[in-house]
Amino acid sequence: MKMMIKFRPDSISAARYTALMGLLFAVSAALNWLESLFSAFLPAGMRIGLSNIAVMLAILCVNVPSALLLTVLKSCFVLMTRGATAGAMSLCGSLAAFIVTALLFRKTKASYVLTSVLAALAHSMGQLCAACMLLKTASVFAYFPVLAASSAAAGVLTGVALKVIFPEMVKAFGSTGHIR
Amino acid sequence: MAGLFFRLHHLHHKIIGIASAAASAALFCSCSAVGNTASSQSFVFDTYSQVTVCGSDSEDVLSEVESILSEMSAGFELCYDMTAAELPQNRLYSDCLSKTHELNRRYGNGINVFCGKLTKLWGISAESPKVPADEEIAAVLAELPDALTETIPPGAMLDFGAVSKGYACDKVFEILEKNDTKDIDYGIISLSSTTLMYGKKPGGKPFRTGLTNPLTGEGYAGIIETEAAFISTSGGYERYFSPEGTDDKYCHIMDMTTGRPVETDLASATVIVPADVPDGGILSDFLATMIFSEGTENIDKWLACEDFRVTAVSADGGVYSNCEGLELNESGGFYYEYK
Amino acid sequence: MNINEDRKLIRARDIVLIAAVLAAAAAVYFVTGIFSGDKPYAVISCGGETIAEISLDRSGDYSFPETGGMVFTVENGGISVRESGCPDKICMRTGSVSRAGEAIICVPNRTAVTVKNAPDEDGVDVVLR
Repeated sequence: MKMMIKFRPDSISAARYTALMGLLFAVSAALNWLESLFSAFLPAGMRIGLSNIAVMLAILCVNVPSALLLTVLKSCFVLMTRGATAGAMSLCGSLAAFIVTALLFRKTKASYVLTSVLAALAHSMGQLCAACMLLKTASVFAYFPVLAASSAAAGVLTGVALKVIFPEMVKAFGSTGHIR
Repeated sequence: MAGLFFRLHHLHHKIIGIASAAASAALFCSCSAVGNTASSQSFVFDTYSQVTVCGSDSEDVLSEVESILSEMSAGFELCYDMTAAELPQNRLYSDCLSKTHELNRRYGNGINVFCGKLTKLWGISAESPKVPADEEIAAVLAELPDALTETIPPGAMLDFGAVSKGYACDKVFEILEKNDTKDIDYGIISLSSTTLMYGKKPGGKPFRTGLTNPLTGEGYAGIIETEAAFISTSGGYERYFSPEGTDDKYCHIMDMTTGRPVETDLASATVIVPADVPDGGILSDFLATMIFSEGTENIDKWLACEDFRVTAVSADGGVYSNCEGLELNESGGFYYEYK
Repeated sequence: MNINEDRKLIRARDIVLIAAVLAAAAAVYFVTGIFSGDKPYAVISCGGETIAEISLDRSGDYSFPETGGMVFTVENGGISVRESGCPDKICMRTGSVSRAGEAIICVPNRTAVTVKNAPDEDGVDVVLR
């Protein structure tokens, strides 16, 4: 039997799906660049996770497999533009954030802000763990306080953005029908 | 010179190797004070020395101290290989000699600085120590000048090992005292077995000196709290040699009557001389060696002296001390024999 | 019903939770600060192996064969990376670190500079041996 992962929900036409995913990927790439401006004080490759907003929107508007696809694509983008190390760090952080977001948005009624803050924290911790493994030293966790604080700030920002953008996305692309 | 002096943690002896690598890899090494504390570590007087000075211009004073220490160290080092006649003219030798004579006259002939050939014969601090034949020892002893000889016999070899570090601390003290524009709050000059504690620590806190456990060579036998002082210690635990296949231990301090390493029932002797005593450094160094050599037999005499404090540790952990600020490491097996 | 339709922006208890996270971050920061004594030194490690331990008391530039083109500068009681061959130079932009617990991480070079404190040996100023 052939296992199929269904990326495109039936409620969205192929054209709309392509447009939507393209848009989200573009957003993530743009935010990736934007947040690099704030990341000067963090160790190489670490990000506060602003670009997670694209993945979070995908979980809200599309579905979990598509969001995962976007997460991997996003890290591939980093891999191509900033190298293998940054790519690995990005993948660890984004996957952690993806898991937290998917659980909270799909299984609970946790607020936008809470979800974003926890996702950003997971993103930071994922990256710290990656750095810890790459450098084989626990001293990277010295960055925990600064990462936690900046994640909280970034999380509040993305949370508000999601609350504003999500209804507009539904209007533009229609409800994607991830009914409970 | 600055390149040779780099600061490392004296607590981490393991690091020394790594840091030497670091130093050799250093591209540049400039000096600057942190706050107003400056410190450095260097290899002088055959040991790792640590100098810390705190005050305005501490960096200038530090380099002055470093240069005089390395200069004196180099001067004393020449004695290892040269007879008195071959040595260059240097006030260092005559000055140190006359100060030692003075102490020998005051406290009884404790140190004979003409014993260089005997030291060389045993070579205990050198690379290949050996137990010499009795005839060799007798031959050297027969030629050994009297401790109080005024003019240096040209054929003799000088060995200032018992007093050189104390003498050096006196010279450093002079630099710190000369109060032109420089103002030093406190300084710690550690030449391993002799230390100068200078000035006053912030908040009037006492200086704390750890006395190495002479029985194991690790940890402390006790900690002594003092005001500004010269502190010297002498013991057989740091420099000694055991011929292969024997349990005999020969320490680096020689008995001039037998021509052999001293046999003493003390494991270490520490002498504290207040910093305001003139030439207190050489005094502390001299007395530490002398008291250590004499053993417990004579200890009461030294404990009765007023001008300096003594803490002596016997080979079984008994402690003879008239120091007020001594915290004894009782859990380490040390106990008061005399307090 | 769509689970996301009545999702709130934020709840009161979320604020408490976020505040707790911030408090924990601050606590970690200040607790490491408390143990920051007056004798910090930097440990430079590469791939988990300690390459050097450098006191922050005296200024100077250091470089090591293991860390490639990196140049470490000790200045004013802190250590920073002055030069690095890594692509994004984030280690250089981290600036100077001086408190115990602080670190400079250069992931491309697999290098970490961690500030630590010299252990307090019973508060002894000097050891006679």
